[in-house]
Amino acid sequence: MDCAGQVVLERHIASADTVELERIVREHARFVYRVAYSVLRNHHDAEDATQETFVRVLKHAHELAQVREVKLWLARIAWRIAVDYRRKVPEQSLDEAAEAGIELAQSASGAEQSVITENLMALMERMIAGLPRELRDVVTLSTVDELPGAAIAEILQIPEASVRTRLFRARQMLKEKLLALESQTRRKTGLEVNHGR
Amino acid sequence: MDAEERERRAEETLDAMLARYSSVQPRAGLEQRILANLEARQRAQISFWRWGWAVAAAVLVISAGLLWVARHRAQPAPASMQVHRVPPPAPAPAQTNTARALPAPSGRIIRERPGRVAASGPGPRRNVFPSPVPLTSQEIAAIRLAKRDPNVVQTIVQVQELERQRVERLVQEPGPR
Repeated sequence: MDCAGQVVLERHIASADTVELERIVREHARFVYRVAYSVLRNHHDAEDATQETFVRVLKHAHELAQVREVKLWLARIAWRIAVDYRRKVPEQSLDEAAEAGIELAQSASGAEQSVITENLMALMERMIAGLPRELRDVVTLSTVDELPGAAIAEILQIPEASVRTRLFRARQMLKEKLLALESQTRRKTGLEVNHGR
Repeated sequence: MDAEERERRAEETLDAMLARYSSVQPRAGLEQRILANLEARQRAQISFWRWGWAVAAAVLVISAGLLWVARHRAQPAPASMQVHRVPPPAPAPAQTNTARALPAPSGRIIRERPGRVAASGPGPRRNVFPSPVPLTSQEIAAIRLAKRDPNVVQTIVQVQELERQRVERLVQEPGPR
């Protein structure tokens, strides 16, 4: 092939890559964002991580044709980037998280429903952040819609059975903490809430 | 409230909280922002390569130019650094003036620059002394002319003498005030 022909072909391939990339962005940007957000819990950081994910995709745009499951591939990239971002934040133990949760729960008592929900979400974030890392990763990814156990296993590079086990253990720990939190709150506020009514 | 009931409620709360955990919506226009960012990066990449080529070409041209200049400067050099052995001490018959003209100790290698040697006084005869300067084109032409017709040279010499005398007269005569 002559030089001009080569250039035309390369341009054609490049433009095809760009079109494909644009399609991927439009189709999966929100999903990637949710994966990043599940780890970072911050809109600004999640958007940065999403941008970074697609920049990496751009770098490997010529390999797009070889990717079998684009969604999973994107989730894996976004996950790694988000975890790298998260390393800057200091970790805390589950007990510390529960302590902070009690304060939150107390401050929410008697307040409006939206404030209660907000505080509950903050409480959940702290409790998940306090889980051991291998459990936390599984729980975090399981909260993202559209990510089945097999996909989580693929992203974390662990067997699917391990995903199920870890998810079960994490849920148990969170449930126990919730129960403990509830009884502590009752004791502190002196209020006995009758759930039966 | 029995323990079973409490556990069931805790389970429900947990499910509800986890369901809400990552159900977030990004700020409007996320896709556009990502695409704009990617486009900007692509453009930057292209311009980087263009400038990269331009800079590489410029560097190549400059280095080639420098190389060319260096070579042209180095061309008359072969004769500039003559290395030769000074003959063993001879009883220097022509040593008339200064101590600087004394020969070097036997067997020592001396590097001499033509300019410096020319400035020094009479010394021992050397094997190679200032490199012969090639004749200019005017000199070559003059030699050819002289070979073809010796009378022309004579005439030129005479004309030059007359011119010299005329100039001298002009210099000696006082000029009008």
